[in-house]
Amino acid sequence: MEDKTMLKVENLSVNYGHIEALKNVSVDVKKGQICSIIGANGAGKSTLLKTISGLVKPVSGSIFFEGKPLPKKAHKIVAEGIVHVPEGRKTFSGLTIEDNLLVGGTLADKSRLSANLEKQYALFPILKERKHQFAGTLSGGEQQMLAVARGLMSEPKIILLDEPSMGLAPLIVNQIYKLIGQIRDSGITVLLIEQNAKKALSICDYAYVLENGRIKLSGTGKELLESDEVRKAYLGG
Amino acid sequence: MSLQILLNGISTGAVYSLIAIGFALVFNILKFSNFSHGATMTASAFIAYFLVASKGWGLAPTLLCSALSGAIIGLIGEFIGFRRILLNHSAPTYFFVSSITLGTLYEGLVTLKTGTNFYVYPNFFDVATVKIFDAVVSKENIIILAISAVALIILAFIIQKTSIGRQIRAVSFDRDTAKLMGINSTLIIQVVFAISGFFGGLAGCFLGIKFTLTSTLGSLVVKGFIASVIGGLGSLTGAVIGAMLLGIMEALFLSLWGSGWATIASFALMLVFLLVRPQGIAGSNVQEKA
Ligand SMILES: Nc1ncnc2c1ncn2[C@@H]1O[C@H](COP(=O)(O)OP(=O)(O)OP(=O)(O)O)[C@@H](O)[C@H]1O
Ligand SMILES: [Mg+2]
Repeated sequence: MEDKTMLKVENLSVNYGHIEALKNVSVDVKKGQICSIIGANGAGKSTLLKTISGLVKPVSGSIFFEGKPLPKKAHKIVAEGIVHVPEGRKTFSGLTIEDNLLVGGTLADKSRLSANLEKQYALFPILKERKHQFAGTLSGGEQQMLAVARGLMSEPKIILLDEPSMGLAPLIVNQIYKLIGQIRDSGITVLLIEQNAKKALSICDYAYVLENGRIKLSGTGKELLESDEVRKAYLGG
Repeated sequence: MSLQILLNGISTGAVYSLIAIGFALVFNILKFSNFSHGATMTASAFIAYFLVASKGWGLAPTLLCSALSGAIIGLIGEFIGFRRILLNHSAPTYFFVSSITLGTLYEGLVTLKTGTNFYVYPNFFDVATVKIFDAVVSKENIIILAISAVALIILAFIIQKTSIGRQIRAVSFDRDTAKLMGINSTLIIQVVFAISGFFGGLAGCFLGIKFTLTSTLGSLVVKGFIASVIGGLGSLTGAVIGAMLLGIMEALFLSLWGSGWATIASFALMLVFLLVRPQGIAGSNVQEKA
């Protein structure tokens, strides 16, 4: 089968001052798949996503998207079709839900803006009911839905999700994961970051384990679920 | 309070609103108080005086020239004064110091040209007063009020209803996340400085019409600053309300006690207000950095 790598991270190293957050990290994300990266607190997961989306500059290494090097500026990276839904939702609390979504669609074709809006409302009916409320009034789960919907408004080719299940009740987590499956089925590639290793590994096609800024292991979700190392460190024995 | 005093106050309040809005826009997006705003007003008013008004071109061209000069000065200020600080993620104090330095620079440049002389805009109105019901009000005040109101309404529309406005609000809330939405935050910050300068230029020209043009005209920026603090730093609506209150209060005190006491009384009232309600009328949740 031909190489269908969509996003290629090669020997990436990132420092914050003296702290080496990522050391020689290489990751391949294949088109149409869910790729997952799991790791403990401080492993460097968010740093990896921030570097891909242009918020953080690497010391060395390169990132290719569809075979081409990524642009430097964050907004140009979004224009290429990469959208990053940050850790902790980061919805614009003082903007209405609808305005949050419209901001997400800043770069999308104006003529499709209202159609895209309706698409998100169909996917997340709760957002439609409350579209004129401030985003800050939503519950954590609803804010996560809004953050994902807002990301989808940019019509991405790949969506980077940073711990979408963080702090949510199991029922809501299941909803979010069902949604992640739907996003993949609609043709959008997913790079999923999680501490919730069990959930992430069961849904993903391929996964990496990040530990102290290095890739420790990689394999299909099934392989990692069955590996002793992962079991001990991330699945509680 | 007679209609005349009220209208005077509202018209002064409208000019303070323009100042306060220019101030609040930049405060919202970079979270610092831009103390070069006053000198921007002075410089714009003088540029319009020398390039347009002194050639006998009338109010509209003068006003437009002043506003556009303000926008351009705002853009230049952003580029030389704040861009690097922003990119380096330097401490907020640097913004503060940089804005004071810029302001001193602008004021110095204006003084080079004008010295400490007074300048007066030519009389833009052939009839000085109009009669509304029984009150005789100055035409100047009515025009200033009308133009300010239109400018504020257009701005409100842009901020609330357009893509640029949403981008400004998003960057003001959370710059990094706004970038992740595909927003060119550098461009949006430039737009904000241009709008802020535009409003500063309008205000500068109006102040020049109401009073006289001097190189220290911009010190009236404190009125806008106070108004935006009363309104609640970070709230645009609050800034306008605060400015109107201040303007009306000043006009009232002026009619009661004359100019010296009016200023003192309005400042004293502001202090009391801030003691009672430090978060301002609109009670914003934004904390000032510097
Ligand atoms: N802005 C920053 N300045 C300095 N150090 C940072 C910064 N951001 C992250 N770090 C450090 O880099 C390392 C990796 O952080 P990162 O946020 O990428 O971890 P993470 O895997 O996302 O953790 P979590 O699961 O808690 O979100 C940590 O040691 C962290 O303290
Ligand atoms: Mg993280």
